[in-house]
Amino acid sequence: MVVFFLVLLQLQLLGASTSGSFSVLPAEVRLHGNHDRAQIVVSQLTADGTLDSRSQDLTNKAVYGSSDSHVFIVDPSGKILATANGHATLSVIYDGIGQSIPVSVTGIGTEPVDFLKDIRPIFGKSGCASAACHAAQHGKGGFKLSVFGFDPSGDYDAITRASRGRRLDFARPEASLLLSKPSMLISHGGGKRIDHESVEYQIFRDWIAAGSPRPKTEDIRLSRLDVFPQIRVANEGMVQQLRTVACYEDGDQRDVSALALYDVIDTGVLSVNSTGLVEAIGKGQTAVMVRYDGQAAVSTFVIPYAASSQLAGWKNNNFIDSLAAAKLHDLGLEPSPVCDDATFVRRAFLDAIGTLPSPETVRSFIDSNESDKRIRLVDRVLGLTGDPAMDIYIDQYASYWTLKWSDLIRNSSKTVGEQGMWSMHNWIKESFRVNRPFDQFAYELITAKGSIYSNGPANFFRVNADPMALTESTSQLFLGLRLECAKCHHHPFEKYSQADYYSMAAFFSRVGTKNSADFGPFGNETDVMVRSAGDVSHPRTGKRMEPTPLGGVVVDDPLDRRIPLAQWLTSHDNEFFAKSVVNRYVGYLLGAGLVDPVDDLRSTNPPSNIPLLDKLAQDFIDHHFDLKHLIQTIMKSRLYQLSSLPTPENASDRRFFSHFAVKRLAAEPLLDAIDHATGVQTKFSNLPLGMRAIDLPDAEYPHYFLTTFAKPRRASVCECERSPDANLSQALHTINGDTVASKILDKNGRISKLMAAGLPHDEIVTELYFASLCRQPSPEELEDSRELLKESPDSLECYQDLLWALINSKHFLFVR
Amino acid sequence: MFNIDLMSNPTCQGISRRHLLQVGSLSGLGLSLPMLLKSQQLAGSEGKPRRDVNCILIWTQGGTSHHDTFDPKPEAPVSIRGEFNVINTPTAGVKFTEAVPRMAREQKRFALLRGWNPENGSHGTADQYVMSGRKFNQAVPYPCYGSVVSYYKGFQTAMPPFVQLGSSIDKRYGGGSPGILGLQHAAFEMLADPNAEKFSVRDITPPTGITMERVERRRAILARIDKLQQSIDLQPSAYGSLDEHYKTALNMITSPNTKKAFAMDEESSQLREAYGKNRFGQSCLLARRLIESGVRFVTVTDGGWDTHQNNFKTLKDSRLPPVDQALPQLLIDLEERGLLESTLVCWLTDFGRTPMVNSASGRDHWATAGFAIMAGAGIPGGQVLGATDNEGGSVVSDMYRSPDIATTVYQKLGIPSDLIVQSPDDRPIQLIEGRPIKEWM
Repeated sequence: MVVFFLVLLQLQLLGASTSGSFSVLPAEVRLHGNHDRAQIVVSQLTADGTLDSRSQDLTNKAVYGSSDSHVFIVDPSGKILATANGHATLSVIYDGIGQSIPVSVTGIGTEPVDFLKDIRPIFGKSGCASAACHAAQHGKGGFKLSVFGFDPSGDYDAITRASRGRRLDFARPEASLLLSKPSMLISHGGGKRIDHESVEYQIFRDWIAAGSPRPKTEDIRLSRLDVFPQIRVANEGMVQQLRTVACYEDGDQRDVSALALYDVIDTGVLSVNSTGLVEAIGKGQTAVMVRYDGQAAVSTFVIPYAASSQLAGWKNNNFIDSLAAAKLHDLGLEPSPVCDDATFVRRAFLDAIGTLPSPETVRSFIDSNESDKRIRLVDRVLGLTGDPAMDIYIDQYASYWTLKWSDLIRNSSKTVGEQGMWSMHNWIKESFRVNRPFDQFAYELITAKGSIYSNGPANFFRVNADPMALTESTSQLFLGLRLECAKCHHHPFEKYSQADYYSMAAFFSRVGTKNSADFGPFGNETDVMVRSAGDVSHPRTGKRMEPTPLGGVVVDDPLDRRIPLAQWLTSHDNEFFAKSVVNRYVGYLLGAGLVDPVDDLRSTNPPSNIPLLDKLAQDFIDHHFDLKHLIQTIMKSRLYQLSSLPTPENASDRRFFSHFAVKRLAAEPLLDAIDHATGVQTKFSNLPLGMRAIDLPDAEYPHYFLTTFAKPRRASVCECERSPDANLSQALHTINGDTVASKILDKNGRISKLMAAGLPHDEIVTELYFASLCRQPSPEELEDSRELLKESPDSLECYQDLLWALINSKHFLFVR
Repeated sequence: MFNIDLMSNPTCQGISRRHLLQVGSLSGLGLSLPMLLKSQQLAGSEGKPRRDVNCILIWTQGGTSHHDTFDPKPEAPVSIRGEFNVINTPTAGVKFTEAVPRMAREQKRFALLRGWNPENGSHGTADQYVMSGRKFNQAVPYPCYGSVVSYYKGFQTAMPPFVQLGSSIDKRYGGGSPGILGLQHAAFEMLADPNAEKFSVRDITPPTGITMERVERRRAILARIDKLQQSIDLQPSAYGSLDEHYKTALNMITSPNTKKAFAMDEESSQLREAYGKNRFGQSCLLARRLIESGVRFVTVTDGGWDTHQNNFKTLKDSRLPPVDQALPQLLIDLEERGLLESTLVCWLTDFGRTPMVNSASGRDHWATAGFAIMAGAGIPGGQVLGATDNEGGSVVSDMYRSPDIATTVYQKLGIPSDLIVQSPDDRPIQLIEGRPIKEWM
């Protein structure tokens, strides 16, 4: 049975005050310093007096009062502003019932305005320190800030000193450009960012009036952001006020609801304003990303498509199905039925081995009466039957996944030379041929050394030639983290700082290469070696960085720093490693990752189904990082076998797999499929005939078809390099290009052979359907083809035109 | 995917326009016509006049010598001056070499920048830098002009917005490439020689043995087959863009307009001769036909300019004459057809060449001086801007860099200089970072 996803919140732990039918968060307000603010959130309690993810937000419906407006004032949306030191009481009235919340204010007049705590967040919040405005490469209008304020002392100088200090006027703070520009009292290219009656304006003014004191320390350390609510389930039209609390490493806490930045990940589902008021405008599930001072957190919202779904006829094949069904049920999504056999066999072959099944294979699969024939098919395609006579696709499997990982690892003769490229290729292919456990694969790659000609993985250190490139590639490949932002500034959507980045880079600081004219059997080899010294330093502070894994503690190794890194990376406790791999494979097979894009597992990009990602990752670890186990688990699930035909109700879903997401064939499998359909193999230059497009080891093949269909040049570790978007040149080339045309016309091709065999019309047409679409033509399609024959000048042209149309049809160009 | 910048800064300059464009590019086709009009209105409402200006870029790959063409130093010793004599132009005091006589005669038709500082002396990075205005950056592959035009303006007719004639571009560093804008904004490359007797264009002209009639028949069969593959329209997001491209592609193949654009034999033999009956000359003529048929940006490429040896013989006998004949002819032709005001014509190259002639009678790469030529679209003809020192070694007045040339091109084409695009990994990237050549605006 489906378990409903509910989060019960510990009211006490949250620090909420409850009475009657509603709770008030926080139960006590403490404000410190001029203009300190707090956000009150009022929630409806359930019948048994608890707060859950369906609890309605009453913040804008309750009525607020201040017992002493000298101490604090409160507005109708529950926002409190400190005005003087003292104690007072906030009254919250809803539905005739009142609650009293004590409010204390301290530090007014004594706590100075702080650059880091008070000024910098305003630059962030108002957008001044964004790349489009003053944090552009050369600033804007001569005023340059660091991106998201990662360089406080540089920003401080830019504000107070650059342009001969003309931005501040200590005698008349209001006349400072820092105030008059963003408030548009004088013209400002970026428009009005700060209202001259706002609290932000007053904070700026107070800071200038106090002589614009320097940042007290280099940086203040936040340990995390707490956002309330963490998850909310509601219907379209829902309104929810967020409350954001910054927790500092010294234990201090501060309500930063007014200062945090709020952004919706999927703007089709939610909208959010600058005060953190969220509204549900569509259906689905997404999160609000909340950022403040280098930390980021999310608040997740589930807006069901319908009140509930019946999941009629649903049967779980494995754990994927039970967890996916729970999510579908939560979202009120009715899944599409299971696809037919012909669709499944084509889908399974293309997804698992990038190759079309032979007409005989398709026929025997469709005709089989075995009840578990789909499971058997998956085992056969992946080579898991244990019977050498059945496991005949291991080569294709190895080629197809070697292609995928060669793209990601960026194997290319351009960077490592012909010999290096082949050596790397052979290692990757061998890994997939023997189904090497993925932790071993990663470990060998990251710790490789020796000759790049005889030790394949060593080329990784030629492809990525410096510690920075190695850090970025390793993080993105094996952790699904895009760390490159943190090279130059604090990561905008993550907690990672430049210090984190360069501490990772320190693991690679001692890898070097040495060239030798006479070393090795081939001569002129490059040797990857580990030196006994070498460090990286922080580009801003100049500090020498200790090797530290992300979110971990310093680990070093006197012989080779990469060893502790590889151990940490592949350890069972490293949640990112297994998750990033299983998420990639979910993306490859199901058309969208649980986290999407599949290689962007940042904390502010939450998975669409957390329990499913967790369980898949755990299962992957439990099965010793066995990729074939992972693939077969996904392919045997009911979820993978759903029809790609959406129902009207689930058509708008793209994240929860309620129907199979169709995907275009990539360049290489597409060319191979055209070869297969036409019966004419492409001959690649400098490679023997028989080598297929998915077998190509190198990125550098001057082949018009492959280039046009976006075979990656392997310049980037990003999955995005293989652009999934169709373009005009591709359409022109398949419709009208010589690649398809010459193969169809080929005298030794499929059509010529079928005609030479003297087969009757219906059989020829049936063969063409099996060879291209892997299915029987429908009676209508056969009938149509007979008409076509009548209309055509001759039968040869008829079959040529028919095959051309089949190859250009969507059932051919897509895995569906 | 989401756009962080957009959300944080709803009113920062350029954002609304960019948003509009992003929506447009989601269709995979760049802008649709209504959106294009809207963006033009938007741009217009910001006070900048908007004609739709197109561009023909002539790219001479390898690095055309500035000494031996438009910036001669007749007073310098022969080791610098080289083999060519100078000749006068209609503008007093402005002299070119005798190797470009027609350009000298028609000097009033174009503006010359002698103050270009290429800041680079390597091939590859030159193609990338000069044609994008952004220095090579491993992490951010910047798009070239034509791709930005395709991205920003989209289709005008059935013809692709960005076409490249010939393949003389060094692409090792992404020269002439769409970079972060994605393959859909790549140049439509036409490698066939328009001077050839049987000129036909890859993928646009049906393959050998396939008549236009048969293309039409196939189109009908495909429609029937797709229709019988029932219910495929139910995942419109996936299939939709493919449909659009197929429709456009088939339109392109079957449209008389397309056929007409490539029908070089429609031109009088007199005009064809005037452009020069050679590949470069006919490419310039084809470029004009393409602009007329709705292409927005045409790059005409020409190779063989890396004259380390036999600089003078190569230039005078083979490289310069076709350009010297065709470029002024193109300007005359555009003007006669009333197209010059709406067509920017540029001649750009890798960099300049060394002042000192080497022992092989060649000139090597030179990274601190060179020339650039622009015409049409309001560029003041006859103007000579900037100057180099006595040896043509470095710029001494009115120095402009490649980013400035880029900004000038973009402004002429009506592309906002604060354009920010989203990279595939979601970073906001500012494309343009120069100052326009104000004398030419």
